[in-house]
Amino acid sequence: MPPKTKLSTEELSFIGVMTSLSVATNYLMLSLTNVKLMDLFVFVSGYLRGPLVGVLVGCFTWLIYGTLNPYGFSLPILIATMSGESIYGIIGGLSSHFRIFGDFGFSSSFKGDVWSLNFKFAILGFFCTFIYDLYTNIISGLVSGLPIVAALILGIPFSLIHEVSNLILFFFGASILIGAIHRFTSKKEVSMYG
Amino acid sequence: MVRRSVWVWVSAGLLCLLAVSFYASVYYYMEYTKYRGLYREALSELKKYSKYIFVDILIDYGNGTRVWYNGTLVPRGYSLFDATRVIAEVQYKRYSWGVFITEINGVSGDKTHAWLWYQWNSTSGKWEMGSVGADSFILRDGDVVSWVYSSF
Repeated sequence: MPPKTKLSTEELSFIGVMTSLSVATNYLMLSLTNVKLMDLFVFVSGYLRGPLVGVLVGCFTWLIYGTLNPYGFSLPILIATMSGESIYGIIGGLSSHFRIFGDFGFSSSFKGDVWSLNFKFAILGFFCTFIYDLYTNIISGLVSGLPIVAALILGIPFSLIHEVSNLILFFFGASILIGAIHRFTSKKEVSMYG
Repeated sequence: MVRRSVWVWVSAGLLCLLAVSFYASVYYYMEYTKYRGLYREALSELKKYSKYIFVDILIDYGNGTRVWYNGTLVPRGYSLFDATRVIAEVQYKRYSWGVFITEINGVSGDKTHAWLWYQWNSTSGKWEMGSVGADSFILRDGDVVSWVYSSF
C-alpha cells in the first residue's frame, strides 16, 4: 500500500503549474526590478489550495529562481526570500480560511462588488509585500554587515517599487486569476475525446 | 457589521498610504542630505581653487610645431614669465627693464631669432604682441597667451 501523503495529485500538479508560471514570469520580468507576478501567483495558490500549497509554490519558485539567478547566489538570502515568500502563501491561505473575501473563488455565484474585492486584495497584497520587504531587508543587512537601519533606508526605493507594483498587480490581477483558475478547475469531468 | 468592515478596509488603505508616504519622505530626506553634502563638498573644493586661475598658453616653435597648454592652473598674481616656467624649461636674462626669455624647451634665440609673446584679443580676434616684459604681465583668469619663436 503506498504511503498516504497530505497533498493530492491535483494539488501537486497545481503546485507544479503555479511554480512554473512564477519562475517563467520572473525571468521574463527580469529587467523590471522588483516588479514580479510571482507574489500574486503564490498568494493565489495559498488562497485557492491552502497555506501549505502556497508556501510550497513560494519555496519552490525561489529555490529555482534564487539558485539560477543572474544577480548571483547567496544562501542566507535564498533562505530569507524562500521563507519571506511563504508569507504570501500563508496569508492567502488564511484569508480564504477566514472567508475574508466571502466565497469568492469557491462558488460560481459570487454577487459581491468586484471593485471592493479588488481593493481588499490590493491592501492585502501591499501588507504582505511590506512584511516581506521588511524581513528580507533586515536579513540582507545582517548578511552584508550593514546596520539594520541603514539596510532598511537603502532598501526604501526597491521596497517602494515592490509594494506599489504589488498593490496594482493584486488590484487588477488577483480576482481575475482566482476567477479564471476556479472556472478552469471547477469542471468536474474532462473527457479525453471532448 | 458591513459598515464596520468597510471602515476597517478603508483604514487599512490609509495605512498603506501612510507607509508609502513614510518611505517616500525618508527616501527624499536621505537624498536631500546626500546632495546637500555633495554641494558643500563641491563648494569647499571651489574655495580651494579661488586662489588659482586657469590660462591657455601656446608655444609656437616657428617650424610648424605648436603646443597648447590649455587650462594651465597657476596661482593668482602669477606673471606670464612665472606661468611659462610652470609649463616649460626656460632660460632667461634679467635686465633693468625686466626679464628677457632666451630659450624655451631647448630652443634658444640667436641674432636672427627671438622668443616673443602675444596675447589673444577675443574682441578683435587677433593675436597682439605683448607690450611689456613677460614678468610684468600679470595673468588674469581665462587669458590666452602665446610664445612664438620669431625671426627678424
